[in-house]
Amino acid sequence: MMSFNLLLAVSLSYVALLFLVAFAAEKLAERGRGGWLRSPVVYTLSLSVYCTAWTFYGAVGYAARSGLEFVTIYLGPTVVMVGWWVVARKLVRIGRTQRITSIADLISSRYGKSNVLGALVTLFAIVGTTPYIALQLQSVTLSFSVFAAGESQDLNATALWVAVGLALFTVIFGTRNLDSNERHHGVVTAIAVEAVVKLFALVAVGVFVVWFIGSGPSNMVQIIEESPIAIWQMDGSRWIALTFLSGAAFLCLPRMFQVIVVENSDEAHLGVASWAFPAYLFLMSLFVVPIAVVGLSQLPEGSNPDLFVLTLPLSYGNEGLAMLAFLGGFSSATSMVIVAALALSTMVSNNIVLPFWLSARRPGATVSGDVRNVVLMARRISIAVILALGYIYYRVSGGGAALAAIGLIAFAGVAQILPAMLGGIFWRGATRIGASAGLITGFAVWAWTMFLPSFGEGAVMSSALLAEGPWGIHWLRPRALFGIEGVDPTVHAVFWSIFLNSLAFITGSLVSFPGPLERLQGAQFVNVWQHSRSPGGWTGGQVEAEDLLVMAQRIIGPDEAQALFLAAAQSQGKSGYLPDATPEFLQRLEIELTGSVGAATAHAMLTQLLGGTSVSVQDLLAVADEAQQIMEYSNQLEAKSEELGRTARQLREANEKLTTLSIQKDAFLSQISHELRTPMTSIRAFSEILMNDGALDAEAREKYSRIIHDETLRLTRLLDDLLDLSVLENGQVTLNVGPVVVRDLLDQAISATMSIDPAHTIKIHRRTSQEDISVTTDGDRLTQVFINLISNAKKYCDAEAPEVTVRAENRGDNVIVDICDNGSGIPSESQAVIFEKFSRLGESGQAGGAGLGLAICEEVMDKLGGSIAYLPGQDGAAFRVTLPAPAARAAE
Amino acid sequence: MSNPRDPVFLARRVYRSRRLIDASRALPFVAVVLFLLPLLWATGNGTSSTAMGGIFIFVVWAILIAISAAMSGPLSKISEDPEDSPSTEDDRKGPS
Repeated sequence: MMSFNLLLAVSLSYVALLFLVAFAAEKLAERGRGGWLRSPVVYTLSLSVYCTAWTFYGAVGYAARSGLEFVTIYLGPTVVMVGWWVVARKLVRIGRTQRITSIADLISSRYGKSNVLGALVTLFAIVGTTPYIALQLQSVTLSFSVFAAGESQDLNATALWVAVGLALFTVIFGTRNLDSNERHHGVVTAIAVEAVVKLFALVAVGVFVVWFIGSGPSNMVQIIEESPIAIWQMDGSRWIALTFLSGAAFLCLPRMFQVIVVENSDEAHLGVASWAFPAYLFLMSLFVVPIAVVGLSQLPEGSNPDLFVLTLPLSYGNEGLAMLAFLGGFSSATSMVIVAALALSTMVSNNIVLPFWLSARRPGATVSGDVRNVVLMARRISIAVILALGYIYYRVSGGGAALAAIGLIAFAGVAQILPAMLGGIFWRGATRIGASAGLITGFAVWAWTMFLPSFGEGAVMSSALLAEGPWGIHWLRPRALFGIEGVDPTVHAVFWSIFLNSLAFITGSLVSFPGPLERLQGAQFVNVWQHSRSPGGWTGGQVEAEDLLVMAQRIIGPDEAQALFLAAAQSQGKSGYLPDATPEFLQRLEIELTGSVGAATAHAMLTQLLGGTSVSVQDLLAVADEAQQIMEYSNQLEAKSEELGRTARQLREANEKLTTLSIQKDAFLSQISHELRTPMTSIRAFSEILMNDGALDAEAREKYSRIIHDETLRLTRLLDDLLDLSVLENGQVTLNVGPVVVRDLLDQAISATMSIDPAHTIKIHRRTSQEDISVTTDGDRLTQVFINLISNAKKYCDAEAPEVTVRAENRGDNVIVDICDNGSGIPSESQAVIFEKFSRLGESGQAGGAGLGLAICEEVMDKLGGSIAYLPGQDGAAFRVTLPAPAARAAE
Repeated sequence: MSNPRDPVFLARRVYRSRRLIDASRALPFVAVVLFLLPLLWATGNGTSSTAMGGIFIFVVWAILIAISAAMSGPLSKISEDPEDSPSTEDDRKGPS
């Protein structure tokens, strides 16, 4: 039997070797020559922190107790890795784009950078991991005890020293710097070495058992057939539950998340690991059953099957192999503890300590002091505290329980994160409320049905409580929820906790409404393939770049911060170190800070500096679904083309109008020149006769002079009318509004028309009693209209005995005056044009008018707020003048 | 969901890589079914052998590893090449 001291010496030199390896890896990485440190092989090997001492020692014990069931612990991760394209790849991509530092950070970041959720997950992770660390310490001390048989050694002291050593290692290599990538070359390389050692050790023991003790594989089958576990009595529900549980834990264990997502430097490594890691697990479990059955048959009754890996080589006197096996188990335990402590310390510092530290400061004040020191100190203390907790748990629990039980309890605890995690990356509708409800429900059920009963009857839960339920409530019994009995306790706990967890998560998400930041983050997580470059989330610009630089220097270090700012300034085309605080730059900065202090804290720090909200409607629109964006875009195009069409139509209309106007103007000009020319021609002709023909008699001269005079009058009248019309059309007319009585106006108009030509008699029909209507208007202008209409009737009425009927009527809101003659009226095709300028019916010159009368009437009535219209269907030509009634006018 | 921007006919290479992605999505389900297959015979009657069951599990395991190894290379190339990455094919689902 080798001495305990030799064993101690070997272990210490092994630990020294690990320190050396980690140190060398850090140095290589610092000098930029550590490319091979980040190879797919190292990545795959680092995933082996999944295989802890529970696996190394416990799997054999598990197999010795329940046969093939142990393999479920490896089948779950195999399924997850084989399906890497679906889940793991998305997690890694999200982790890289969002600079996720831990699983708590992932949940917090996804659900609106929520501090509460981050702290919740951290707390649960600590509760789930502490027993697991205790388990590792226990396994190391147990393996020591195998070698120390006969020598009186204080096993508790061994456990303590192991814990202290591990804390030291983790502090030195896990918190050397605050890298914004949160990658630890030294740690990863060391655990890769440990992965090789433990695989090599287990395979060596396996080969030894199969070929040296069992003399070949075929003989091995024979030994299995004769062993106590020859009959495979499979428990179907356990098989399913444990496979699910191991797959869930593989993704949710803080240390697994650390190595799969956080330490990943290249997505292609995941592709290699997708088959290489299952192969690793395959080799790790290939020899488990042979070792178990050989141990059962060869070792004395009552030997601890958890230690067969060590005791088999020892019992055959192969001390070298036993030493190798011991180192393998030691590696399994230490690598798990190191990575778990590292992951948990990151979670504690980023999700618990920093938020408290920040909220303890005056709000609005900028960050002062070296945040990096705070973060690093928080992590170092967390590591020490976590390991101390593990040690205390180990001491309190007495290290009695079977190893596998603690492992499964821890698995089930962290698996409660699974619904929130998967829902977060695949379902945009998942909300913070839902995630919190699911997590709390799941952990409560897990604690009630699995964690608390695990301390044993009477420890935390009394046996009465276990048998009868709390306060005698039967359906709340920890091992028979809702009265369903006879289920395996593990299956029972896993089923109810995950089921109720998912139920609460989905229900909570469905009934709650997420905030803008939550929706933004949700879109970025779920659609990570579309949004590999994240959109700007900050609408600041009030902040001085210098303040940002000061803060960034305190968090990610002066050199990194200056490099970041310099690069940003250059990409903005600026010289110097101070870029503009554009939303893009702020977003980039936040992600860099997230890599160091976590999403929630980084967000809170920037919020302190920037103040105000960080999500604008534009941001939300920017991350809206791609299809929606395309739709939006095509909608915009459609709207634009519609607008263009509308404008084109308007232009066409305007053009048509202009063309018409131009034609009208031409017609007007030709009309007016014609109107002016006709009298001019006769004036010129007759004046020439008067000038040249001296022999004219007085009668002729008088006749010619009269013609000239008449034509001049006509010209003057025409020009007067034109002037009148242009004044009216230009709106320059000033109205002399006052109260008048329609009868008076009509009297004036009739007497005026009569006075012009008393010879040309016309009979006027009036009903003066009805004309006593008072209106408020410009009486002179209205009289002008009446005069025009009556004189028109006189001029154009073709009846033998021309008569004019005047009717006035008050129709409530309107006063109408109809003036009709008894002629043949106006043909319907001409009715539309009679109000146009120069429109004359029949032969021009018949009545000597210029055709402006009705046009002037229309303008006048328009100015007076009324209207004039041809009234068809009467006996002759009829015009209706409409005026607003005084009441209606007053109401305007 | 058909996207109007997707071409109707794909180049052979893109077609193959999309089918490869389909296979990579199906593989975990195949794995689950195969690993749960012993439920059909190993529960209950108490006559199934641990040795034979173990050989079954490990053979299935080895086959899965081989298939996964054969697919991982081309898949990683697709993942790295954003130009014709059909990985977004199904991720382009509408808002859920």
